[in-house]
Amino acid sequence: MASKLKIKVNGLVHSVSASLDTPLLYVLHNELHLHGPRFGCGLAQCGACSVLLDGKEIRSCVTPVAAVSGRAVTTLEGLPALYASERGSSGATPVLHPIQQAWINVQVPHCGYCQNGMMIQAADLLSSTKNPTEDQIRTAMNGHLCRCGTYPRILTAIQQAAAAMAKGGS
Amino acid sequence: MTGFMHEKEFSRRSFLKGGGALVVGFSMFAGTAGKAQAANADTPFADRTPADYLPDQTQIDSWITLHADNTVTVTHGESELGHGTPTGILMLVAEELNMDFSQMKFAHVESWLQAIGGGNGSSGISARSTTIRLAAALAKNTLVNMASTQLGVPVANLSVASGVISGGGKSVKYGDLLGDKLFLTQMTAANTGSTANPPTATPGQPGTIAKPVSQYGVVGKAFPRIDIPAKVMGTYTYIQNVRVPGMVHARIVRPRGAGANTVENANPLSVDPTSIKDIPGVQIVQISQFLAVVAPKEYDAIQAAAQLKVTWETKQGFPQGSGNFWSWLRTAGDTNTVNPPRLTADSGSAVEAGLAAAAKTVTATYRYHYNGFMEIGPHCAVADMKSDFSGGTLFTASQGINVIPAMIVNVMTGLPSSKWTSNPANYRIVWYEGASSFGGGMQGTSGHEPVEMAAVISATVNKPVRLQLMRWDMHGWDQYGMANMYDVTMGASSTGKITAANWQTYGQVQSNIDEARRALGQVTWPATPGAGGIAPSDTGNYANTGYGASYQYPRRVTSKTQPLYGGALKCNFLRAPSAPQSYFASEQIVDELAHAVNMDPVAFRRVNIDGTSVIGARWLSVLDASTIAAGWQPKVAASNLQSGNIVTGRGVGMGTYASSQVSIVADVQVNKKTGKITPLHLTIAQNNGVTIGPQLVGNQMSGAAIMGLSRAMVEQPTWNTERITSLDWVLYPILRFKDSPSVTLVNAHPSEYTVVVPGATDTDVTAGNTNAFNEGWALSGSGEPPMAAIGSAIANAVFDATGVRVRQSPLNPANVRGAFQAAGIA
Repeated sequence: MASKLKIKVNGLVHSVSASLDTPLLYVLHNELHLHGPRFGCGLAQCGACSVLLDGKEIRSCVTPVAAVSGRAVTTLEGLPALYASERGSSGATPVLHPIQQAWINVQVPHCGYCQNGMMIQAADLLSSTKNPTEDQIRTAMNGHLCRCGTYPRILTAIQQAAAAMAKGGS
Repeated sequence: MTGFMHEKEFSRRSFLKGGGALVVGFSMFAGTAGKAQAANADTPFADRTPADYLPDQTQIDSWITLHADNTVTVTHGESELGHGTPTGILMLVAEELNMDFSQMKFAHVESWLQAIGGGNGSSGISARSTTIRLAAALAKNTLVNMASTQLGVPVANLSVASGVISGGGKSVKYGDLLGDKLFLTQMTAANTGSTANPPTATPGQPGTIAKPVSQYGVVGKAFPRIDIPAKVMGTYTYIQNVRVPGMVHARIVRPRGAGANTVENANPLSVDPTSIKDIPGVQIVQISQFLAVVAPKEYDAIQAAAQLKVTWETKQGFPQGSGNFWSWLRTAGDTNTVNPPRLTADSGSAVEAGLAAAAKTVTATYRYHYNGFMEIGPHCAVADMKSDFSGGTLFTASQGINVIPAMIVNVMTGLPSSKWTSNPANYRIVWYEGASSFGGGMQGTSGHEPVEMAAVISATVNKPVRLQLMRWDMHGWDQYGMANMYDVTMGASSTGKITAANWQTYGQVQSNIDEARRALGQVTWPATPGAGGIAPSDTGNYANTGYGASYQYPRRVTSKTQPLYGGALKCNFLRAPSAPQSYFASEQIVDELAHAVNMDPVAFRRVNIDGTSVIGARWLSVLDASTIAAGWQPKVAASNLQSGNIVTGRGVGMGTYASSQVSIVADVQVNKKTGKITPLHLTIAQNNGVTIGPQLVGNQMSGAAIMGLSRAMVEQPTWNTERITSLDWVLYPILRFKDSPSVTLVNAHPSEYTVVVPGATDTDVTAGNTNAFNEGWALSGSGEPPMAAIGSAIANAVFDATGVRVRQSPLNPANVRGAFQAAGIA
């Protein structure tokens, strides 16, 4: 049975109608029309659906919507605002998180379908590990699959983003 | 701003038409006649009609729309597959028009606009840019002639930069001459110099109006891909994101895991609707063996598909199972009557003479396993069929938007008591990108099948339908790239000249039955193999790919093909069809011979490439580029074995696809105890003749090599006697981040090797392009070639590290450890 729920996504509280066990992914996509988190496997194996829950990466394809009640969900679309709030900056929200900027600088995507999860995981990593080693990056990213073979560029982009964030820039 | 024109237009104008939001922008075309004039990029989405289907390719207006603000929208049907092809097309058009890349936009691809539709993969630029090149060149000439008249300055005294025509102290913009108006100009032999219909020109083709390569200022430089910002911001619309008002969600119901060809094991003997009666609003759609569920909420459709109680007919279609595949394959082709064992190449007695004269011969068997397409995002399609049977709008990620309408006609008119129109133009096909498309694009599950299924479901429930396939549909029901086995004997002289080779190949044909139509009861497998409309095509051409790169030597190739009936997996053309398979064998046995005659493997290859020919020169360019960039130190492979369990090695492998050559130097680390191979670094050199976008090519090289690495090192399906059993990323894994090497990318031109750093904006190969053109190096494709070379490069590096040959893919710990144990080193 559908229930009325309130969930907080990208800083805004939304009222949605869904059964409590509906995976968060379908609510984000079909009710809130967010294109960042994507369906890949529905099995928490690939990471295309990743979002941040209170700043930590989770798989929205297996997380019941009821489980995020009272917590903060951030999708790819919300990364720039999240970064601005983490830095305590006032004024206009930047268009891009430094991770997204690095992704463009390095021209990371091929088809881009998996890149949502890659950037979400990178945001999780860089929020806790400011200057990760290559091994730390590889370990953090190992649960995300890319069919197009973009791993080398992702590694470069995360290193660039870490450097940019260390300078406090965007 | 450069970029795609997005679907906002149709969501506001088309689907809100009843709400009065329709914006009519058609008046400027009133009074014009003919298809080419009916729709161009300025025509709002909602105002295009079936009459706009397949416009005239000879009209400039079918390709180029000039705006008053001095920008151009290009209506080329090449869909973005992640290859960056639309970006490359914009570079070409900017080049021929003497405009800036930033003045270019790319129209969204759909069948009521583009003259040619759909993507062509690797050859998207090399093969399909030939007409638009002349359309742009003729547009420039037309505009310069107009300027000459208007300014009173002779054409010879006029020049164009950034779309501004200048001369005699005067200037005028393209947009001021003809902005928002039609060219109404047909390309002919007289005004283009091409006698083809439609006119075509390769880069700088003499005798045509195409710009000389030496004058290129856009082509050969680095431009960022137009699709990437939206993909990074989460604003990109993939096919999975397409939404139509009133849309319901559908799932296909079928067993998890397909059976063999002709024995799909998807026949529902009984369906119990009461098993899903607790799910709100759910509907069952069943036509013949086609079974689907529909629900307003997506999660309800997912649950209904999983919960619906169905009794399936089950047959044993795979006599061998995956455990006995290779031994089964050895004899499976012996009784094939459609493609009987046969010679596909034969140099006659020169083969025996060559082998007899050889100082050394090597005999070995190589096996390359089935690989799946394995897009991260399962296929999706949206269909909005009209309740009066007059057509519909269909959204698909297929590469084949211009061939799908006829397929939809077949499906819709083949429905029971069908009233559906048979006019293909009435089925409007709108493209949106799906997850990585690596082949089989116009056929099979990655092409038309999802949209056919969506159309049938929409027609049945009389609502717009979004059909999303599940992970097990992809792993279990998608087609596979073929598995091949090769028995090879090859000989070489003491100085390293290959004297002859005898190949016995074991392969498979593709299985091009339409699974949607099969389930609908519209097509059936012929009673006897080879009869009827789904007869297998021969593997001859594909099986002959490779066999020694550019090396010329007497050869005999005997091909055995496993029968399409009797245990074959459904197969289709996966990225670089058959090249990874055949080069896995041919570039390993060359390495084995080099070792046998005590030669450095690079020096051995060099002896066997005829550098005096154009093709030989192109091969040498990539061999040189890769080995120079990698700092290759000549030595006999495995001549300096390290002690201990963890050892390193270096190998080279070459290959070709889409007429481009590749050489890869691979550095690997090997654990002799566990059999685990860790690729450390790849130095990849590729030659595309004339390179349009070095950054676009660089990304392709890197991606194809890494995906190829995954295929060669990690991937294989499993199946039992009934059906495929590797249904997720655990049971059919792909390469992960930790095992991904770093890469060096080298773009090769005659004696000029450019290292491409991803994203670097100063990459410039214009000088190399001119030299390549002057040497007769033709533009060739970029999307696939490294896939051909990577498997052998890794296997050759493992040999260098350990002295052991691993001749069976995947090069996973189990197979590698098995080879080590057989060799007595583990």
